[in-house]
Amino acid sequence: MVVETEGDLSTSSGALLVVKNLKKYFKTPKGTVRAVDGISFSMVPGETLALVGESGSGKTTTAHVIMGFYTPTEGTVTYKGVEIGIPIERRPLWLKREIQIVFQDPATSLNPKKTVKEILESVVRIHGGGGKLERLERILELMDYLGLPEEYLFKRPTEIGGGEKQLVALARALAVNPTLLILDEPTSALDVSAQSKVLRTLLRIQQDRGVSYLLITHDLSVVRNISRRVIIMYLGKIYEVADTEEFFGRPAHPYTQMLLSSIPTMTEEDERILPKRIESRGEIPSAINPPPGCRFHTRCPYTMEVCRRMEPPAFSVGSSSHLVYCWLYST
Amino acid sequence: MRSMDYVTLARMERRVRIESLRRAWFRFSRNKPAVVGFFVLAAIVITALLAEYVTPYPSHAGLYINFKEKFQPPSFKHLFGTDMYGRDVFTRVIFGFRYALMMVGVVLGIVVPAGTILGLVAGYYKGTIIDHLIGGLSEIFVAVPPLVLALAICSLLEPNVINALLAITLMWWPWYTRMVYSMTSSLRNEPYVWEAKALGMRTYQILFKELLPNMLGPILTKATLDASWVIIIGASISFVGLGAQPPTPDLGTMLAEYCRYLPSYWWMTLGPLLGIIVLVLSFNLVGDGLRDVFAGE
Amino acid sequence: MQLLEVRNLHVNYRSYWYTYYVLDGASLYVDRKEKVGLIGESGAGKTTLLKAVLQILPPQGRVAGGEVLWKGVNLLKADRSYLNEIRRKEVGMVFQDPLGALDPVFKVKDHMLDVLRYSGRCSDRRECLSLAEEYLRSVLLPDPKRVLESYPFQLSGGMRQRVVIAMALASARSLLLADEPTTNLDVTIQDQILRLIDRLVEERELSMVLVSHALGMVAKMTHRVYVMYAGTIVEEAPTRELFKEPLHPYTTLLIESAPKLASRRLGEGIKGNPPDYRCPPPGCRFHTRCPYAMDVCKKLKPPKVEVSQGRHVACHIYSKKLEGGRSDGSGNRG
Repeated sequence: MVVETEGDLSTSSGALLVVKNLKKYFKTPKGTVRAVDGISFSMVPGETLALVGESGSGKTTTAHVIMGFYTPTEGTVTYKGVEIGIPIERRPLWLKREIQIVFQDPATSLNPKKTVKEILESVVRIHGGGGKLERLERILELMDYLGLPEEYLFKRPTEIGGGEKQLVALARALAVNPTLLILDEPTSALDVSAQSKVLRTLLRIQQDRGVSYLLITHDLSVVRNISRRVIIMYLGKIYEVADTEEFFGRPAHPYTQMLLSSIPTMTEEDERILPKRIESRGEIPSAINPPPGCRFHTRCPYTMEVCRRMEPPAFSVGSSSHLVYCWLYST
Repeated sequence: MRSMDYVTLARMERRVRIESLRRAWFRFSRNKPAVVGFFVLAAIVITALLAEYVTPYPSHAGLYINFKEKFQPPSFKHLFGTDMYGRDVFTRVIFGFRYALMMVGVVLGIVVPAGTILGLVAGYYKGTIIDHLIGGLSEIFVAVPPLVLALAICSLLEPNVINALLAITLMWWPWYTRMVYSMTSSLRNEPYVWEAKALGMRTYQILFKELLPNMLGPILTKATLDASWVIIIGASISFVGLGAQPPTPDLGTMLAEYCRYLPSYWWMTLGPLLGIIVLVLSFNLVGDGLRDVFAGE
Repeated sequence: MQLLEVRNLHVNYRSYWYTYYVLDGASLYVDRKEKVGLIGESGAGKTTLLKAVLQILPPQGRVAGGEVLWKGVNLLKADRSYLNEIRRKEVGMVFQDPLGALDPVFKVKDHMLDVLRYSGRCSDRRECLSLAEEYLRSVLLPDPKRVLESYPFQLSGGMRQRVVIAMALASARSLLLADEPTTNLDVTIQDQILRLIDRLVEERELSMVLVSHALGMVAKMTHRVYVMYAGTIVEEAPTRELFKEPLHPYTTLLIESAPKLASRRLGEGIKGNPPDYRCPPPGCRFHTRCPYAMDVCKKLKPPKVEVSQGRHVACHIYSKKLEGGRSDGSGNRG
C-alpha cells in the first residue's frame, strides 16, 4: 500500500517539528553535493526520534539545518507552526532558547580556554541572569542536576574526562530550558562507561522536563535504549521509518538489515536479535552523483530492474506507522 | 549535593587562578635566558621610569654644556665617559631607554588593539566585503618594506619623534591584522563558536569572549618580540636624522652624533650601542620565554 | 614456547614535571595461530603495551621493568639489528588512525614498496610493484593500480584503512598487532574490514593481538581476551567464557554498561574516573571505583590467580577464595 510521505500524516495536531521535503545541496568544486535530497518527517512533543545513518547519509546536515547552521535549499522546517528556515544569527531569542544542540565531540564543543563556570555563565547571562549571585545559584543548580561536582566549576575542559565534558555541554544546553534538544552523536566519542552515564542522564532529563530529543547517531544500540522512533537515512534520503520496537523486531529495508548485521555483538541475546545476515558489501557512493533510482541498489542483494530506474515511494509494513521505501514491499 | 557556600567557592576560584599563574611562571622559568631577560628588562623599565632620581647627572639629559669635562674616558665618575659637550653618557643612555620604551608603548599600544580588532572582524566575516576592504588595506601597507615606508613617511613630514612614531605605527598594524585574521578564520568554525551562536551570543561577545582568548598567546608573544623591532626601527630612523633631534637623548640620535668621533673617543658610541643591544636582547629573550609559556598550556 | 610473551612490563612516561606510571606490571602472551583480544577503556595503556612490544614508544616513554620475549629472546635487551629484523619481517602493526599512519606526501605505491622491500619479500622494483598490487587485491581494494598511484588523501577512510592493513600484512610473517583498526569507519565498512582481517589472518596462519574498546568486535574475533585497566591486566579468559561470565568487577561493569541491542535497560556505568597516572591509587588500581572494594584492596596489589583452566583474575576477591590456590608471578607489592 503506497502511503503519502510521513510529513503529511501528522502535519498539524500537536506536532512539534515538521520537516517537509527538505533538500540541502552544497556547491563544491567537484560538483553539487546533495547532502539531503528530499526528506519529510515530524516529531511530537516529548518523544525521542532517532535519525540513523552512516557517513554521507545526511543526518548531520539535517540536524544542522534544523538548528539554523544552514538554510534549506528547498523545502520547509516548521517548529510549533512557525517556519524556521532562517540562519541562526537571525533567529529570535525565544527560538534559540527552544531548540538547542549537543555536539559529538565535547573537546571541541567547549571553549578550551574557558572554565566550566565561565562557559555556563555566558549562557545564563544571556538568558535573563539577574544578579551575580542568582547566576551562580543557577549554575550550581545545573551542575548538581547533572551530577557534576562543584570543584569542576573552576576546571578547564582539558582537565576533565570525556563523559563529564559531555555533561557540561548538556548543562549548557539545558541552561536555556529547551523544548527540543538535538543530540549529535552524543556518545560516539565516549568510552563505554561514560556512555551509560550520559544516556541515563538524558533519560532522566526527559522524564523530569519532557524535553524532546532528535538523536543523530549511527549506533543502533543507543537507539534501542533511548529512542521511541527510528528513521533510517541513506545518501540523503529516508528509507525506513518505524517505532523502535517494531524496527528491531522486523527490520524491513535491506539496508537496515545490512546495518543491523554489521553490528558486532557481545552477548548471545544480542546475537539473537540480529536479522538474517546480509553481509555488507560495497562502499557508500558519492553524494555528488548518487545512483539513479533507489540509491541503495548498487549494494543491495535483492536489486530488481525497477530499483535501478525509479525511486521507491513509501510502503507500509505491519503497523501503519512502519514505512519502508523499497520496491520489495510493493503489493 | 551542595557542599560549598559562596565564600568557599570564591576562595577556591582564587586559589585556582593563583595556581595557574604559578604554573605559567614555572613554564617561563624553565627557559633560563628568558628569566635573565625578564629581570634585566624589569631593571631597565624601573630605572627608565625613575630616571631623574636614579641617574647621577639628570641634567645632562637635555641641553647642557661643560666643555671642561668633555671627552672624558670611562671612570667611576662617568661610567661611559662624557661626550663632546661634557655630558655623562651613562645618564643619557638611561634617558634614552625612556624614549625607547615610550616608543614601544605608544606604537604597540595602538597597533596591537587596532590590528587585532581589524583582524577579528575581517576573519569572522571572511569572504564578505568587510574582509576584502580590510584585507586590501593591509595588503597595501604590507607591500612596502617596513623601514623604507617609515623613512618615506618621515622624510615627507617634519623630522621629530611624533612623526617617527606615526610612521612606525602605520607600517606595523597590518602584521597583527593578518595574524589574527588567519587565526580567526580557522577558529570560527569550531563547534564552540557555533554553540555560542546557537545560544544567542552577540557577535562582539563571540569575538572577544570566545575567539580572542584562544589567540592571546600568539598575540602577546608577537607583541613582545615586536618590541625589539620597534626599538631598532625607531633607532634607525633617528640615526639617519629623521626622528628625534639632538639634544634629545634618543638612543639612535646619540649613536649618530657620537659615532662621528670614532675611533678616538670610542666610549661615547659604546654607551648607546650597548643600550640598544641589551634592550633588544632582553625583549627577545622574554618573548622567547612567553612562547614557551603559551605553547605548554 | 610462546610466540610473544610480555612479562610484568612497567612503562613510564616522563615529562619535565611529572612521571606517568602507566603500565604497572602487565603480562600477556600470544601463541602461534592464536587470536588474542586486549580490551579496556581508552587510556588504559593498551596502545602503550603494543608500542612497548615493538619498542616504538615516544621519546618520553621508558620501560622501567619487565621483559618482552619474542620466541624466548628478550627484545628489550636484544641488539638493534635483531629488533629491526622482527619489526620488518615478523610483526606488522595496524595503527589506529589510518590518515596519521600514512605519510601524506607519498603515494600509496611508495608506502607499499618501502614495506615490501624492508620485509624482504621482493628485490627489484618490478617484482615489488606486482607484489604490491597483489597485496592490495587481497584486501579487496578495487582497481589496485589506481590506488597505488593515489595519495592518501584521495582515498576514502575505508580504503585507507585497507591500505594500512595490506602494509601490516606485508611485514607480518608471524604476528599482526591491530590497534583499534576500525575506529571512525562506518559500521558497514567496519564489518567488511573486520571480516577481511579475520580471513587473512586465518589464511596466513598469523597470530593476532586485537586491541579495541569496542567489546563486540573483540567478542567475535578472538580466542582469548585480556582485560586491561589502568595499566594492569585484570582478567584473562577464553573469549566466550569472559563475555558469558566475567569475573573481575571491572570486566563485569564494563560489559554491563555497554548499551545492548537486546534490552532496553541501560547499564549503571562505572562511578568515578580513570586514575591519574601521576599518582595512581595504591594497591589495586581499581579500588577507588570498585563496588566491592575491601580494605586489603587499598593496600596490596592483587596477585594474578588462576581460577580455572585458562582463566586468571587479579582481584582480592578471588585470591581470598582460593586461599592456597595457584598464584601467578606478579607477586604482592605493598
